[in-house]
Amino acid sequence: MGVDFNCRDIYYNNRVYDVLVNLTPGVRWNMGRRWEIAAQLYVPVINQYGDKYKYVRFRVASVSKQLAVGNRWKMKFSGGIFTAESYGIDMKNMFVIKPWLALTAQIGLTGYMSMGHKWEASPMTKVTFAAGPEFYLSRWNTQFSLRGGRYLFNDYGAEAEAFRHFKHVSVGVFASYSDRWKENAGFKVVVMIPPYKRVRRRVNFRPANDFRFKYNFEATSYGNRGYVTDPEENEREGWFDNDLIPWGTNLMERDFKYIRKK
Amino acid sequence: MNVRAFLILFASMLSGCIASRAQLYTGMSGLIKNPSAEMNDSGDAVIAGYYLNKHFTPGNEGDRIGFVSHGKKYDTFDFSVALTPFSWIEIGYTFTLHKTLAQGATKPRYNQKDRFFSIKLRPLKEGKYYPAIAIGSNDFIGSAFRRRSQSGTGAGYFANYYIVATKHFTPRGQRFGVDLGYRYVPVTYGKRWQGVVAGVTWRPKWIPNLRVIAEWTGNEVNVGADILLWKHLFLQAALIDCRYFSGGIAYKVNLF
Repeated sequence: MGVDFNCRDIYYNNRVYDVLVNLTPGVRWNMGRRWEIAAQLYVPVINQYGDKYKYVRFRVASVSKQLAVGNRWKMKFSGGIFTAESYGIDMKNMFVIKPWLALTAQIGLTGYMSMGHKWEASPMTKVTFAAGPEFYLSRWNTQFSLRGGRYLFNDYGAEAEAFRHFKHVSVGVFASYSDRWKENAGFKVVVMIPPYKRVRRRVNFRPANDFRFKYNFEATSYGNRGYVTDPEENEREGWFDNDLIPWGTNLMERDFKYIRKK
Repeated sequence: MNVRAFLILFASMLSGCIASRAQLYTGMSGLIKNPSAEMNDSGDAVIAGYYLNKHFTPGNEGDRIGFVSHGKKYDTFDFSVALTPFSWIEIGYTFTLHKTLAQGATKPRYNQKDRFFSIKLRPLKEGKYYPAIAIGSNDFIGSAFRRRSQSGTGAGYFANYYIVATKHFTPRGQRFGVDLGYRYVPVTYGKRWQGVVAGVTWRPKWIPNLRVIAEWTGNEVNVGADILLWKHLFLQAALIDCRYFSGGIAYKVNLF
């Protein structure tokens, strides 16, 4: 059972932060040939955010397929319920140019869907995309990325990140600009959660692999907002399986040692 | 057991010889209120909490802004995280509790916070005959956002920029450090700490993880001590202006 921790800063309510803590049980089914179904629930246990967040609901429920085109281009197609109260279809690409340079591109067609206070949905008409280079300095396990595109709240912008990857922990800083919500900055921490020796079955019920924390210096949460299509997608693991055209952090010593069981 | 035997026993309880060197109210390396050119080790991460005496915080009695509630300064707490991704750079983030009277409430409480980032760069590492030199700043982003804001007053309380040099000497195994720097404070709240800052530190030969500190902040003399216990637990106690207690506790871990 993983934990999703959120806090927000609303002035004049006599609290330093409002807190929302969800348990995040999940399931992952590896169907073979890099087809996968993954789902994760939000189970609220502490909620100071209001009624909308008091219900058990899906965080992610998606089916995905990964594939390699040649030995430099990897792709991932996903469909289903994504984070950020989105649903739709999504395609991700990484093109490896050098061991230190790759290009990434992502495009999605999504709609709004809330399974909170009452079920709401909008048609799947929103196009989002982002693209840009990633640089990886393997000697220092340090990664820089720059992405620009169109985001969930119809804003255009760009985001630059710098990450240093340590053993089981990645720490990074970011700066972003949105044409509607202007500049933002902050930091991100990704901690891979023990145990580091695991049994991998075809269907896995288990806690999330990671604890991820993002701190925004600006209070607005609208600018440069995206979604993730996989419950365990983060800046350390990337979008793809580690053994699919390994690049960047894929070449570090793996966080988890797996024993495969049927 | 005489005093020396006790100290040796106590020292033996301390695991490793990792030096303590935190300016703990920001989670970064330094002295008490002053910065130093010492850096934490590459990969070090620190999570800290610090009790700030009202004589430590920016603002003055009678002010309308700063760490002042109804014209009176108050003691507060801050919490910080800091990381040394490389041996020449440290970054940190601190939030400090503010006490205000919320609309409809009967008495003030800690219900707001001031947040700031810190950064320190060390272009010159200490050598045998020359000091380490570091430049850095606290609350530097806050100032930029405040310039853009039409009404914001909350940013920049801890804003300062500094350059500092640190040199160590080790006569007979006793490790002494000398720090000398200049701090520029662009905001009125902390202007009294602008100017030349200096400090001396002493690490006793028999307890290398203990550090005794005396510093001149530009406004007052602070004294204190800090110690790293069992590789991870860091404690600092200080007397601001040699009279008013401040201190904190931190968990320190190397991520490599």
